[in-house]
Amino acid sequence: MTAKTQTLAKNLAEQKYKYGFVTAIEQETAPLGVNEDIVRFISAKKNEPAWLLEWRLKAFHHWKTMSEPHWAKIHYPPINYQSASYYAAPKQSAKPQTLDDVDPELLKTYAKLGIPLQEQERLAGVAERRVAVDAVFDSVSVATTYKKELESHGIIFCPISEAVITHPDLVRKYLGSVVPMTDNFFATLNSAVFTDGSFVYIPRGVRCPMELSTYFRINAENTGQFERTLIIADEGASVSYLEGCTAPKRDENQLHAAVVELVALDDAAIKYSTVQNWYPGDKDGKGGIYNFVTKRGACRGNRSKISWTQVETGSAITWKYPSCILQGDGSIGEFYSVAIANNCQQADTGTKMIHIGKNTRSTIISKGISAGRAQNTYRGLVKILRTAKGARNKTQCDSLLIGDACGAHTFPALESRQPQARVEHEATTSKVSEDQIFYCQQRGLNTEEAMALIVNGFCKEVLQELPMEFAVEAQKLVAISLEGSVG
Amino acid sequence: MTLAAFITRSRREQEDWKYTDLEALLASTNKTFNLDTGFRRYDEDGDNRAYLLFLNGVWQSARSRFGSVPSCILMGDLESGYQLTLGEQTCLVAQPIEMVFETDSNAPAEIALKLSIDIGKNGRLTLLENHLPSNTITTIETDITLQSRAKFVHGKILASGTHLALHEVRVASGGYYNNFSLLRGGHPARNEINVTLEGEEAQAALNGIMLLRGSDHADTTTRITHQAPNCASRQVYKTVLDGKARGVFQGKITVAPHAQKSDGYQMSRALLLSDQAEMDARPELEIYADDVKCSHGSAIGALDEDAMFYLRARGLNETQARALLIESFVAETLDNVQVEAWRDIFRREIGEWAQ
Repeated sequence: MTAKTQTLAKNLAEQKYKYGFVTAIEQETAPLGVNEDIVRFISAKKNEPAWLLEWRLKAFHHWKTMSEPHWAKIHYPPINYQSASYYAAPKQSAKPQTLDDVDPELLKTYAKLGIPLQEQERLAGVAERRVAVDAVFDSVSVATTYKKELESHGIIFCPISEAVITHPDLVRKYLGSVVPMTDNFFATLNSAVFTDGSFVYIPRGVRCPMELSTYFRINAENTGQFERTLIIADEGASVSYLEGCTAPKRDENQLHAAVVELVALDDAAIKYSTVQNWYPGDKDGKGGIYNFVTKRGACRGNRSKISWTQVETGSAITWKYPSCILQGDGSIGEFYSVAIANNCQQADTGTKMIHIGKNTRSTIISKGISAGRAQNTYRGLVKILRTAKGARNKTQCDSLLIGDACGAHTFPALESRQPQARVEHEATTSKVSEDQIFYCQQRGLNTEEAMALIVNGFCKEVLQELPMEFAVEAQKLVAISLEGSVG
Repeated sequence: MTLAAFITRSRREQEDWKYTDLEALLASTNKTFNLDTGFRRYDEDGDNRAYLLFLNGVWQSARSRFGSVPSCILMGDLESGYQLTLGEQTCLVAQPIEMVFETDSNAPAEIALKLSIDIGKNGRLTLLENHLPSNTITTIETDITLQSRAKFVHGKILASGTHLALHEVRVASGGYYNNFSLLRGGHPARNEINVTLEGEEAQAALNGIMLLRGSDHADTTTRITHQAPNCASRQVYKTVLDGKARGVFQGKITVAPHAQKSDGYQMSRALLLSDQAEMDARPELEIYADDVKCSHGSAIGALDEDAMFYLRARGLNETQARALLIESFVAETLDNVQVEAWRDIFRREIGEWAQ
């Protein structure tokens, strides 16, 4: 390793986390640990109907029979599930009806995070693109914007705890239909204790007029966040949804176990983008979020499409495999991922594409960047069932290593039972070459700018899949991570 | 390693045996093969090539022929394992040795073979293992050690039957290990090759073809560990599946920390000829050093219909056209076979299978 890359690796290790502040706000938390009473407590807090409580309890009892999975390439001390609180919410007298009722401290927090909670009036002649935000603070949603306007299109966009009450039929029909309650250890735990998240329903034939997004913020100490998101695109509907997340800097690890379910019916399209920037821990690996997430989309209808785009920069541990079940004939699944692991971060992420319907297509593009002492793993499965005549898959996994103490791993699996299907996988591992850096330097860029340029070029295929306004942000985030300046 | 030991292993390393459920496969095997194919050697031209015959796992020195190979090259017995040692500077390239493994009606239900091959500094060995059809469960554990700058060209042909092989290969600096395996069946067959490139500039090339039909189940599992800097490895595996056959390819390239300038390449491709067949591939990379060049590729598909049509239009019947395309599909790996005579043998075997 040359002196240049050494400095760069050092800078990387010292990058700072911009969102590490804590909001001083009075909060109500549940007693530590998880048990039947806690499940009932959460359910009661949300005024849930009896069927949901039953469902939660069933999940909880099943969870008790399960054991934590250890097949992923991640190492961490045993998690004590009884030492954290499963519910934390800012104290407020009643649910705020308008933004004016929301605690100004909270509004300030979101302003600091750069999340617009004020609805902007559309200026005459300016076709500004707007984003509707559902802001989730620890275990509750504090505000949802543009609800009225979305309602006029028949779109339901609200916290899931609200949807349970206002649209019980829809929730009951789809909740757990993609990620069953007994799916895996973390999903089952989530089913028992999930607190808040977003619910989206796009009615038949409607194109959602704006980006929808949810911003998750962990604030309270010693709590876990268990959000649940459910998005349903009815026949011919389409929606683009973005999820962002941050957490304060703390020396203790905090657990985040989310479940996201997507359902696309005939001709529907869902684009789900994530910019994950949970607190990654300090340079010695102290603190950070343990991110164990189950995300899955079902292309139930013919010609439906689900596209996952993720930029994973945060979390001490990432365990996440956004997947697609391609059931409808001609349905399409996509997975675009950039995972940056730095310092002592460990990322084990990838996707599963299950081809069931005829002429289903899937594309997987994964870019992994490892720096410092981080371990970055792509783990994937492409499964072609006998029924998936004419199915097509293309997978490309590229890894970039910065520094000689990190690791990059690729563990794909291909299973095909259909001769009319074509499955292709390619993976490469490389480093930023001295020649590339030299070339950029000759043209007046300094080493860090050159590195940022090269790495952004490496990720470009994925970043350009993000909605425009976030692509710029993500590009900056990638560059900032590598500059090691403010971060 | 005995069958029982293999079963214990498969229970312990579940993830590595995910696609080859040994116990279930063994329980469902009841096929008997016709052994009456005669003794099929590949060097019957009467030249002075050497062959070593093993009947029911026991070496038959009287029926073996050494040619110009010193007869002390092989020692040992079934109990303690056979030892094949090649001294320093000994070169047996012009003298390929063929090991023929044959069973007859007196064979026990299970044969557990153990073989150690040790090649001294600058030694050169060319060895072909020829496993004839058998109704006996054969397990074979082979330890191979290559001293510095030693070269070993290792071939293997497996006709059919239940066959579990585990190779542990250690290559010292500048050494070169070349393996070519042709699996023509398996009930089940598992060919596991673990290579550790221990010294600088060590190299390994693993190539193989699996031709499977009926209820065949064959599994090729390779693990190459680049332990020292400047090592290179190449792997090309091709699988053709017909009937209800199931093929498994699992390959892992590991680059240890500080094994800089490692160069690893792996390609596995499979052809599915029937809609009952299944291919499972798991190509893996595990990299702990930054200045490396590693890539792998994997593809599963069917015969190209346009190519079929092209050949049919030129007067080939369907069987001929298919056979030609299958042969050309696997041909890439044959180019990596270093022994001219073997290439012909493999080509003939493939041709026979494809017809």
